[in-house]
Amino acid sequence: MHGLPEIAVIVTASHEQSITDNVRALLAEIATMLAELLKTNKPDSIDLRSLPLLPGEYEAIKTILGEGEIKANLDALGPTHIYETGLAGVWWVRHNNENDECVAEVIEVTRIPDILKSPVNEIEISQSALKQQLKEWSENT
Amino acid sequence: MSDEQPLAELLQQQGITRRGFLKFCSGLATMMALPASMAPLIANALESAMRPSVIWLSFQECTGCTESLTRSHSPTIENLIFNIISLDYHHTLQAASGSAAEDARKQAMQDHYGKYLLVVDGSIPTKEDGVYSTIAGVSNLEMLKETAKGAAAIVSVGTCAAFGGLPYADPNPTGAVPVSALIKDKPIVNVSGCPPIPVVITGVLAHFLTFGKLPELDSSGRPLAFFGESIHDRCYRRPFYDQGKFAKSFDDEGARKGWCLYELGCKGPTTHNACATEKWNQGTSFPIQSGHPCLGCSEPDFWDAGSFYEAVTASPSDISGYVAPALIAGAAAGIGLGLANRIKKVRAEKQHEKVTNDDL
Repeated sequence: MHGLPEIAVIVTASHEQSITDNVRALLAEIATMLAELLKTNKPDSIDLRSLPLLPGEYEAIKTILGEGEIKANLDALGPTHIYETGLAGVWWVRHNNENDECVAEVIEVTRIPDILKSPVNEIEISQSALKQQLKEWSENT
Repeated sequence: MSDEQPLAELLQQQGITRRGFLKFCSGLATMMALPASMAPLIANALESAMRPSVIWLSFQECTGCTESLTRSHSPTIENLIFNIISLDYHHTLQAASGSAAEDARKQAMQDHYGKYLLVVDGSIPTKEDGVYSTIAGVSNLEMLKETAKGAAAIVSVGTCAAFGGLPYADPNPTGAVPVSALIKDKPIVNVSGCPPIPVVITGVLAHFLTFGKLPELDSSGRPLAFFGESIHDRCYRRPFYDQGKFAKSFDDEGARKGWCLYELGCKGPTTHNACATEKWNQGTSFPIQSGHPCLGCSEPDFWDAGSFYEAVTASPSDISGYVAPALIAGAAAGIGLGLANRIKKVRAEKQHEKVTNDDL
């Protein structure tokens, strides 16, 4: 055993019990954010680690939101797991560090999380590198 | 590593991509208790921020604050912050010793005069000219005054530096005082806690890096983002308090069911800190979640505020004498309990009630 995450703790709650006030409040907040996204295209997010959730509520929110069609894994400073939930425009983003411990966990309400978009400066670097390669090939032939 | 390079470039040189940098900023936003949507703005601010010099002085303390930070649960982010600041002096962590160590402090003070960040842990003994604690033959008192002169700001890490802590407890044989009692002409932020939550320490450093200034503070000089709400307000056991369900002993049915620990002396209602949300040990738990009442370690004079288990906290049945009409409304009852607690706390402090062996 190498760390606390390996100690198996399973929190269970019946579906009926799990629709608590906290869960309802969080889902209502997501509904408001979706309305705002549709109206103004303004993204928003909820930091899950800052919420004082009762045992079972985190699991309940995850279960209710479900999983959609898109999943992405990012490998930068440790793994990041991203998926669109069953609700279009609602993304579950979990950033882990190199020891696979969670450093941030966020529900993002957006068309696509920023971290998945290709950064402009890196596109520029890629473009010039590719151009340079093509130039070298054409010079050598 | 150059001090004149923007942080984004330093991170790029360490092989960190833009996505990695954005992820780093998401971690910082969480750390600073800012909305996650702030991450891109933090990234923009950090891209042009310069690498700051930090001098860390450890005075009359137990090294618990440094242990808390160096054994924190998200080492990647913490390491990154320590990689991008220039920690020019920390006598527990630095390799240099003796005059070489002291020379490093003086050099950093000279090179970054007016710009460096001074971090202090431990209280400062003032009796007999501060002879009770010295470093390299220099009293803590003298070293603090000398080093504070050129600091841009001071971060008092831990309850000892922030409020005096254990050394300050009655009868305070060394005449210990907090940093703020000696330094009046510099911005000071108190990151209290015994020890403080590591993410709060790095959150304050990250805020200084990002915005170039200290965060907004409460009336005790603590960052509002982390100390703005009480443990009680953010406690997952709060619904049991609202329902009047209290554990009466550590092994009764209420304790086993995870009910509110208020009647067992929990100081959550009068304690401001982020334990209930940031938690400890890889985000696993915090004292109340582990079944023990909050001791109130991030509040001033917590050692002299009566027993951890009885004296300070009022039983809900005790409040009728103070605010009986307020019992009509649950919210008002909360205010009443807070008032009762404060009255008891002040009384206990005046009488210098101590934690006894029986209490423990």
